[in-house]
Amino acid sequence: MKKRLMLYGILLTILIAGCRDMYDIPNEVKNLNLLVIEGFLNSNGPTSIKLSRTVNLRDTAQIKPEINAIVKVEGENSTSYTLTGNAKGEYNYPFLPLIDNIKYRLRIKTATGKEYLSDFVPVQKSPAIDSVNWQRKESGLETGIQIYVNTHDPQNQTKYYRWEYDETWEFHSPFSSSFEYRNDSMLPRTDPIKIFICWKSESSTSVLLGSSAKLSQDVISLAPITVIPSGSIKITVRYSILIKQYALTKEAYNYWEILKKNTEQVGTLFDPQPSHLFANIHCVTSPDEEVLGYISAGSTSEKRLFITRNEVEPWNYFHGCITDTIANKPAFLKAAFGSKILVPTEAIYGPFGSIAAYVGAIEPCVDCTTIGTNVKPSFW
Amino acid sequence: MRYIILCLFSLFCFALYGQQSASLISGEFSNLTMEQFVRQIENKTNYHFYYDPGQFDSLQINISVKEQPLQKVLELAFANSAFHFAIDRYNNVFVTKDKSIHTDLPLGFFNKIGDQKDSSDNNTTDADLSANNKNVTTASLENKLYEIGSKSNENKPGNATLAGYIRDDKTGEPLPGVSIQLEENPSVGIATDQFGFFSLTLPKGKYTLNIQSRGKLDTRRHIMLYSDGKLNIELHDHIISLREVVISSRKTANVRNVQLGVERLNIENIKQVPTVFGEADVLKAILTLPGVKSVGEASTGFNVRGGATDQNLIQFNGTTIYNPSHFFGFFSAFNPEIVKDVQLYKSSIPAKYGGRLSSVLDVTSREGNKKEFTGSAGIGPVTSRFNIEGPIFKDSSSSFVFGGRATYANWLLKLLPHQYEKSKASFYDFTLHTTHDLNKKNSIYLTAYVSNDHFNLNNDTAYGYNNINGSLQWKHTFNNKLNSLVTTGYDFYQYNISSDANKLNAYKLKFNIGQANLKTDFNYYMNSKHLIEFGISSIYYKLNPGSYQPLGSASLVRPDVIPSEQGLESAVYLGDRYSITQAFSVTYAVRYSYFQFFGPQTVYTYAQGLPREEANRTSTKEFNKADVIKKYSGPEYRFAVRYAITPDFSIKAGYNSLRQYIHMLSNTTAIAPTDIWKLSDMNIKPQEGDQVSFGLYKNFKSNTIETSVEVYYKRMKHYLDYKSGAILVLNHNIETDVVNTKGKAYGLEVTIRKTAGKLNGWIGYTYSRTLLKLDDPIAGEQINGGMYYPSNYDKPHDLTIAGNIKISHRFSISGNIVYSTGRPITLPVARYYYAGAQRVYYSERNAFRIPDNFRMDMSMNIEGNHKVHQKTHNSWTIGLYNMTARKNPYSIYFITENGVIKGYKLSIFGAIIPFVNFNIRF
Repeated sequence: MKKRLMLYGILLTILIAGCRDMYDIPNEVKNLNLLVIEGFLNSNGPTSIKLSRTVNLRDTAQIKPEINAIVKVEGENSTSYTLTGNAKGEYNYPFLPLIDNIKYRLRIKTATGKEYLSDFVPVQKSPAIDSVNWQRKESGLETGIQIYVNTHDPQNQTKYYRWEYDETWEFHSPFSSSFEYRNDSMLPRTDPIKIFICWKSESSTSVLLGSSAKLSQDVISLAPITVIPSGSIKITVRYSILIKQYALTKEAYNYWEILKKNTEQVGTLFDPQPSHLFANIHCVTSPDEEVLGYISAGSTSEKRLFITRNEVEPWNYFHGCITDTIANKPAFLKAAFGSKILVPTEAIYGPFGSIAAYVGAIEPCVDCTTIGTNVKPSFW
Repeated sequence: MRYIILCLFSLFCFALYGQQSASLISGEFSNLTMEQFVRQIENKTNYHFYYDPGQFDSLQINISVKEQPLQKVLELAFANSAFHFAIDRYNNVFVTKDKSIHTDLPLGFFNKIGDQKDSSDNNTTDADLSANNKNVTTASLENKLYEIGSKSNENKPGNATLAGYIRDDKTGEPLPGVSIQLEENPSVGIATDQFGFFSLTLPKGKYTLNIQSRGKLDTRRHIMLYSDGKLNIELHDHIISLREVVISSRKTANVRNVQLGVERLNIENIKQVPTVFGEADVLKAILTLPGVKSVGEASTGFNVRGGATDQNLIQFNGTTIYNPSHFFGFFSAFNPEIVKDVQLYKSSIPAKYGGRLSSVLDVTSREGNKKEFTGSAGIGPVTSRFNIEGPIFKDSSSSFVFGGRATYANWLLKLLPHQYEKSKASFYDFTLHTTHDLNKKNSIYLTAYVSNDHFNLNNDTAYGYNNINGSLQWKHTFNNKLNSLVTTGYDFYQYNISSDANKLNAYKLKFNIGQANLKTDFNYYMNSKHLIEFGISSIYYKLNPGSYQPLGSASLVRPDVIPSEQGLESAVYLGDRYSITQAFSVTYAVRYSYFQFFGPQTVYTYAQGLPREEANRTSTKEFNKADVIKKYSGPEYRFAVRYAITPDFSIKAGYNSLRQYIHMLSNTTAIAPTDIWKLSDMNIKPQEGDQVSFGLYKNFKSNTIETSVEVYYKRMKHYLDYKSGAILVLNHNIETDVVNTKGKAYGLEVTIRKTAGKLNGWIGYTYSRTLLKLDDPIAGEQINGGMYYPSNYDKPHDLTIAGNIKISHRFSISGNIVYSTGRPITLPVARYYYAGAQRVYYSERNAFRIPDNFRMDMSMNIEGNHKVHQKTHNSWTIGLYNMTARKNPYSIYFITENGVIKGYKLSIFGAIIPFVNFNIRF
């Protein structure tokens, strides 16, 4: 229902979109410092539980990790596994041997001695992803390449799905560089390809949910995952997306849906009041303390899709880079290239074969490692 | 001109002194104001002057005369000015601007009246009410004595009842709310009902009736009441506002009326309120009244004295309109060409109304012209509208008015980004109202209303809703003292949404509600002290709360239909308006309402005192068709008292209680088009509310300035709120997602209203609070720890100034200024990182407020020329909405976009919106 109302709300919002202004985040200092627990007990891969704390709205910290806690996974059958933490507040276990019909829970003891315990959660098996496909989308909120996922559960048992994705794309520097300025002198570049071909990866930032609860079969068809805007750098050479699928219980689905509504689906004329999120983790030592997060367990399934530029032509990517020409005089070269204001790309030769000038551009236009990495991913 | 002559007669009554004298005047009159000049002349002579001081502000008299007659003196004094004077044979001097007065009547004027009087005995005598072949007298002359009843009863003392209709002289349309008072004793009087009917029981004798109605010329009728009889009165339009002849001493309806918190706006007032697209809008006009609020500019839902949006009974000629808005709330559902007036009851809700807690908004349509075919049309940037009206039969016994309205808003959508170019939005509505007087005792009224909204997003999601309403009213007059109104009708509202963007998920979702009504209201005019009102009513509801069906053969959607709900709401009421003394009057009434919820239905019961969840379900019971599942009933009290300290100053107090058996399910801030309704059932109790109010009413300047102060305190209980993550549509166990809320509201409303003159309008200030509290054990969670928190529409300070200046008869300017405190909003208090992005954490509900709201609008009305004999009359309305271009915030929200939190302020109108409308009458 929410989705239908959203569609209506979207149009209304568009109608009046000219009247949307930025608004400063309120400077509310509450120091709530609530524990945030995010993670998934993975039965077919590494498990990672992230512990962090809420921060004040204008706090500069991106994330405030909770370190030095003791994090254990406990089974109804009295099995127990202790996760190992790191400085980022991540508590890892390489491979949890979870048994299908046993329920598991999480026990956390923080450095300050507070103890938290989650509800027992079942191990939900995710069915295989049938396919990941894309379509060019010319109308709607965003235009570009819409990525979809399709899946189904022949047992008609899963019904509630959540997805995450990792995008990776190969991209090239707008200009190749044959020279480098080193030790106050211009030298031929030894391995120009290293700053010309790069890869960049990003992970999903929004909550992606799907449900077949209203359908007669457990089929998810064309669930939208993300849109690559037309002309984006992501498909200038080759693009890949890996979709990870999680199966959820109805309660977990409700939690994720409220989280999405509260934080991603606001701004229409018909916004409901923010809903309370009922975590499935509770503080044992002080039961009134609120905890954020929902723990699930199960297997994941994955599928990767590649898109190359020739599949989406015309793509109309515009890099926006310009070049500058610097006369071949040591002082000029030092001023321009010595402090890396510009990076040289090529030389301009004079009438007698001498170099009259060098062409340069700013670093991100020449050296792709300033944006991504030149290490080719293993799956490429 | 006719007006002036009529007024001269009234002046004769008290200006009959002095003799013919031709006294001569000498003297130096230099730099005198009119007032000084008149005083000097009156001292020197026995002439008496009549004039309007306001018109002579700028006049200076500089003359020097010696032994001149007054005629000559005045000619000199007013030479080269726009002033005219006339002297009659009683030494009265009338000074007027632009127009001159004839002090002599046309030849044969009195003879004509004499002739009529000779024949009028037969005409006016109408004791036998069942005699249908005789026409009821239409008393159109002010200075004539109308004899009522048969003279043979003259000698018997006792009471007699005079009844009749008051109508417009041009169109024959009945005029409601017209006040009729005895000149001899102003405390005896009555106002006409919605059909223009009045009934007065008086001791037999000779009376003068003063008849007053806003927008009509005040008039009087002399009657000689011999026995029961009828008198119909026709009123003329008040076209020319010459202040020197306005008799404005007794426009005291607000002071005299016993009721509190009643607001009445006629279509002229409504048309003066500038709106965003320039089309007169009933609901937007209502929002300018004190005590009426809304969450924001695009919402049609309104909140009266702290009540929720579903607590307003919106009536259109006796039908109930469930969705009173068009086009995302930018237009109200009522065609302004058809509407006559609206009445909003905020506090003293008459006992004949019930079923909603907060208010009754009674919208009445015009009756068609009974004498000739006329019509009008209007063209605006987004909508056009027309109406046509006229007699059905030639004998003036019947009329119809038909109006329609349609939109061509698609061009607006074309202004959207091109991705939306395939979107479409449209609406239309049609209204038909007919009246037919079968005979003197029986009249039939028929109203039909249809509205349709359709909206299509990119050709793949279609959304639509309809109102369909019909009512048939039969007014029967048993005798002069007793009449009845039987209303029957059917009201229907439905919406549907369908989407075929994805063939496998293609669906169609429907909701509808229908209600069949039957009610009978009686008015018994017992005597001049008691007006007894009583009646019965029944409403049968049938709701289809949701049906979700696959669309197309490829769709995998599993059909899901929520079983229909049916209920019967019945009520009886009895009330009395009792004028104990001239100054002291009360109304008291009791209404007893009774609600039954019927099967077939599967009903679940839940453990007492535990959170109402499926886990706490204790039993399941199946009910068959027509089984009564649950009954609720209770009395509702309506009481008001008025004491007039002076004729233009009164105090009033009132108490009201109400019950509501139908609830709107909506957890959005504004009324959304997808909101659904729900009947009270085994698990959902009826809403109950009561209100005490107190008011002071004082009129100034011959009652042309009305002021009032009202305070109120209101309680509500069993108002529905929702659990976190509640699903309202297609929920088979809605009772597990709703919780009961308590509410209290209190406030102070101050109104100053100027009703006459070139400048008229009102200033309304409201201080009000609305607080809600959720501490219901069935909730399982509490909001703000079970403490009171402000409601979404709690805006403590609210100031509205609405005015209209008539610059000339063809040109007027209206404006309004609106200020209110920003509404409460829930803002985040912390931030955390989850699922790859920054997210906000919310805590206390409605702890913050959005910035204050301020808006100024203006419109100009330019009439075409006023020549009487032209085929069409036209006018232009040009205006500016939101003149200061202030971006009034509708909401403030924080959203996670690309992993980071961004704060936005959303405004509906961020610029000056100009508008133009063209209206034509034919």
